[in-house]
Amino acid sequence: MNEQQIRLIELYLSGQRDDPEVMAAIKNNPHLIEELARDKVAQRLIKHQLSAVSENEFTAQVSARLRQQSATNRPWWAVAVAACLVLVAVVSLTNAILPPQSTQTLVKNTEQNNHQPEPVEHQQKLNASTTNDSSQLAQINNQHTAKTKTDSLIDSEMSLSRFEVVSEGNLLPAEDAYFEQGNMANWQVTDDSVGFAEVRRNAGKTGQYGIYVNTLAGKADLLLSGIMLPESFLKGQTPLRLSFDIKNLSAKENVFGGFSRISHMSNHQYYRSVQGRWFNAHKKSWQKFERLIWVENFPPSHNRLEINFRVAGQEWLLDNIELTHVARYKNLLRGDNAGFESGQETPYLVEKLYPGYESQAFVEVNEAAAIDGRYGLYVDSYPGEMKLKFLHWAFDLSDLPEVETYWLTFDVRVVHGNASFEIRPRGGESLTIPSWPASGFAMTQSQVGDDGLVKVTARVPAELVKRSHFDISVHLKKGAIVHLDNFAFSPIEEE
Amino acid sequence: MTIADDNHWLNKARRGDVKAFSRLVAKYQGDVRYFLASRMQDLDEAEDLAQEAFIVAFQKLNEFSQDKAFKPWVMGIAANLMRNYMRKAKPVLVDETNEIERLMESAIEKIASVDSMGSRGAALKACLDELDGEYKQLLIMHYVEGYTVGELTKQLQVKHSTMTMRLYRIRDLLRKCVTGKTGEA
Repeated sequence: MNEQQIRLIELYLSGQRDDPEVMAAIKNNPHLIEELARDKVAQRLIKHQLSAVSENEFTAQVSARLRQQSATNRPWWAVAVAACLVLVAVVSLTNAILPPQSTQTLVKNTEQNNHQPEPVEHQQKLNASTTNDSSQLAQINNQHTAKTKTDSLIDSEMSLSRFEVVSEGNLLPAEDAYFEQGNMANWQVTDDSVGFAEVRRNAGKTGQYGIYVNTLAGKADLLLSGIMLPESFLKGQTPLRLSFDIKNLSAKENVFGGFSRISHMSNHQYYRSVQGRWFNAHKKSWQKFERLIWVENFPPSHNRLEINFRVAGQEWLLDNIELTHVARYKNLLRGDNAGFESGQETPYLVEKLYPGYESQAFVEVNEAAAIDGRYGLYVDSYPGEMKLKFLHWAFDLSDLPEVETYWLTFDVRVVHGNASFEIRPRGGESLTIPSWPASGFAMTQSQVGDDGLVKVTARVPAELVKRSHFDISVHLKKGAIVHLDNFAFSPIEEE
Repeated sequence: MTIADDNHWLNKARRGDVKAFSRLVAKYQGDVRYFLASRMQDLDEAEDLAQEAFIVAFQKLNEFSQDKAFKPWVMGIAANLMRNYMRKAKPVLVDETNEIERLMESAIEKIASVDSMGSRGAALKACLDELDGEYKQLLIMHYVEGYTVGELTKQLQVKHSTMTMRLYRIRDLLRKCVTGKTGEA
């Protein structure tokens, strides 16, 4: 290869591709094209050789997937036979171990477990004497009943996740959380709601009472005012955990119901946390809904908890509403990688994942993109997909605690378009942001509220973090303008 | 492992024996993975497709004729999966740079054939082991640790074009080493 050709290759590989004459010279020279092609193959293979998983690991991964698939693809008759054998074994064991009286108790409990709440019409009759206007907040002044957690009404439960809860326990008073006084206590149905909600007997997952919500005519927004948030919750990005048990009375498959958030209203100021993941239910069974709510810079008083049922045509039961503090550990992202407050892109956040697979989005640190502080990251992915990577050195991984999970979180303001994120920790599977309503992990401004704000959280298993070259890529698919800020990477202890 | 050995494991795998099929995965994964890695820009996607190829092969074992060799069959599955993927992810070509990229991809299609990549991958592994420590460190920083050329330039106090060409020459060195070991251009 002569000097001229070497020079052209140098210009091309250096990314100096603005000169049309240079580009034409390369394009019209098949020898150069072939040389660049061979170089590109070399780049890809070197990358593969140096960073892909080992042969043994790859084989193990394929085997694991095949085993998993074999397990789920077993023919129905094999599953039925296995189930029968287990049942026979359990019955034989029970008869052998338990005295006759205990066996009767078992049968009784099975009946209780099969208990379904009474039909809506029947319940309405039952409550007619105590409910004056079912479209308004119900005031059922039944005699105080202590909450007894019998678990007798549990159909099934799917817990999404559990977080470490600090000792303060539930921030909500018992009457607002478990409804065992037989009334809605301090909960209200907002004036602009079309649907209604009321406390009913046998509508709780545990105890005797729970809230029945009816959106057959339209939305029903529940509001609990006057929540006092401890000062500690409002600083240092400390999250709250909101959880409740919820059941859809008619769901045959997975249905979404609405969203929850904390809002603040005082002196004409109105703040609200992001809607986050919508609660959902399926197969008429009780679900444990659980999510984190980040209330940053909220004043401690005049706060409200909202549980908004926004999908018309549904009936829900709601019980055991808990708002608790979650322990938050220090942000392991070093210095400026979290908030961009130097006003410049940080050295350990790179746009290019590797040669030949470059980020095509326009990315810039500027003031307009700040969600907190002075600067944020402005991203326009209309030209193409954004691919950012936090390099290994962006993290302080020197003294890792004994936890199983880490969270990468960041704030997003959707300015325009449809923001669809994907988080990829090295060596792990892609983590899409789960369970956004209707459109999977994609978010449009209309879905996340007028302010377009949302907190994105992705779980990362500790085993990946402990690897010698841990890093995380954040992808934003083509077609959105977003502001990103407040990146945090923290260990989280889960129960 | 000979073709007769392959058939031994294939017969077991047909009866749902995942462990037996793993023997074949271990034997041919290099060919499939190097082939896909050489042809695709996104290494993660290439690895995913490589796994997918073996999973599809396992599911279709009953369609596989034992008179034929397993390797070309699974490579064919991988190539089909890759073509489907690329058809969906095909970029819009709008300028001169993309035109060159397209010409390069056509050239790569000829260079990185189904047959040759396994041996080249194995040779590359050996060549990397023999590579000068400083060069290898630079490759690791760039390809594994994600340092951009710009960052390497700052760190090593050299011009951008110098760093670009240094990396190019190291790759060229490795290409020559691979050619020497495999006898393929």
